[in-house]
Amino acid sequence: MEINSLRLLLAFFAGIFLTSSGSLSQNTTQNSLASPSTLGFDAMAVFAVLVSHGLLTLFNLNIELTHFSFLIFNACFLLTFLCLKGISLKSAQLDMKIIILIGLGFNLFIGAIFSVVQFLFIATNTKFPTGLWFGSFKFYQAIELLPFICVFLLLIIFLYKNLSSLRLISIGIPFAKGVGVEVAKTQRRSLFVAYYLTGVVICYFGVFSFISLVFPHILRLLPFIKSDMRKEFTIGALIGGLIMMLLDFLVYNFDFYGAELPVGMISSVLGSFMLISLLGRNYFKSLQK
Amino acid sequence: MVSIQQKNFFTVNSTSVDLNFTLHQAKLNILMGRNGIGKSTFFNRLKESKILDFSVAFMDQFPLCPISEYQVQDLFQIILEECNGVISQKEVELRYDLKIDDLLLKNINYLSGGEQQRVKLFCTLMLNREAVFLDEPFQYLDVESVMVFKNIFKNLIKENKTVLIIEHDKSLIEEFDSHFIHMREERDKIEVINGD
Repeated sequence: MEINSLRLLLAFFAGIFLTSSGSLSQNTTQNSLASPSTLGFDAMAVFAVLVSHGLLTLFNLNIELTHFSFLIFNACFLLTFLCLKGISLKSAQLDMKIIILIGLGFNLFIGAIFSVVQFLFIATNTKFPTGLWFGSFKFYQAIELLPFICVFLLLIIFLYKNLSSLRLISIGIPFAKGVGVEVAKTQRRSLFVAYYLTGVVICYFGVFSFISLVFPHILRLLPFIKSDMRKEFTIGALIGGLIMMLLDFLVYNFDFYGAELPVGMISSVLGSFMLISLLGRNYFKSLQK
Repeated sequence: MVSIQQKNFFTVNSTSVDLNFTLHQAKLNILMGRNGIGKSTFFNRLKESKILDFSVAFMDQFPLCPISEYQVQDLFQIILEECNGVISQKEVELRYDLKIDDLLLKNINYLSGGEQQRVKLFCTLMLNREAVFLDEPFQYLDVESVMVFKNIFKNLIKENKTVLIIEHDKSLIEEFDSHFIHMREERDKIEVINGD
């Protein structure tokens, strides 16, 4: 068996980022079924990749798609910032219903046009990033560590300054407001960090479905984490990173008829089953109550 | 006695709300008004504003519904670790004679209405602020719990804390030395003023 340290390190970061972005999305929106996908962050990253690919093809530019996508994604940050600022004007908390509606709508829109754009590119015999929907660490580069380290530092700084507020918000937004937490400010910061955590992974390695949605729930089932938000964001994120590393290690060393399965494909299949079982478990628990 | 005056403090259904009332420390302050006038919204705005120059612990109507499976003891642990100047669970039990041991291991999402009220009041008391503002604290309570809550309010008043409650049922508060504050509509605005 082979161990590719750099690739595993990138997978580790990706696991940390996706797990943390899921925890942040759920805590900030006070909705356990929230994820960067429902908030439209996945769609924004995919949009950035599509636009980058289009521009690179149109102008025949010799720039790496991954780096250019992340650049476009950063440009889209301004648009997202203005939307969130507009939604929270004169309010001590963000209107999460509007944010989720916009996010879901944008998600569906991007999903729809992706197929159309893919068809057009293939019909015109133009290269297209078909592997985008099933993320993989196959085509990694050492230089990609740099943006990952920057986003990791962003996460560390954010948690250092805001973990206390996040814990109080996790009790409930009215309670957090009552004890003086600047709820809207914390929510905006959380969403921006979740935006970048998701975006950097998708721009460089593609979409890994269900990880951000399901991993936080799995972490909360673990007896040494349970309802401790501090442990969810620290130990939990590290566990997410380790699981991603393990998945990548397995696909790298065990191919399927000579082909390497994308980690994103495995996460889609496993994640969907886990989600159904979690929902079923919660349903039966509520019946017992 | 604290006087609170502010024009156009917030708006309810496009109607501005002016404040011109006092709060007494030695009495139970009671905010009354018709349903839908905006009493709970007024409390929410007080939470967000800097109009009060003393610290306040709020107990609102909203149920506690954390997304994680918190037990009641987890909630108290978070308050102890993340809030300043709080008092411990044991101290609350001693000072106010409010027992909570039977609920400590219960999941917050599965508490009954009355149990939620007890937990919310316990959290409010743990915060140990100079004032306590409560939105309909007696709702969902059984007769015994109403007595317990009344005794707690008496203790808070004895401690010189400012206590303000929203309450519709005067029979629940007739044993208190009360100061009434009314929220009512006057022509094209709503006023929060001292009442009889």
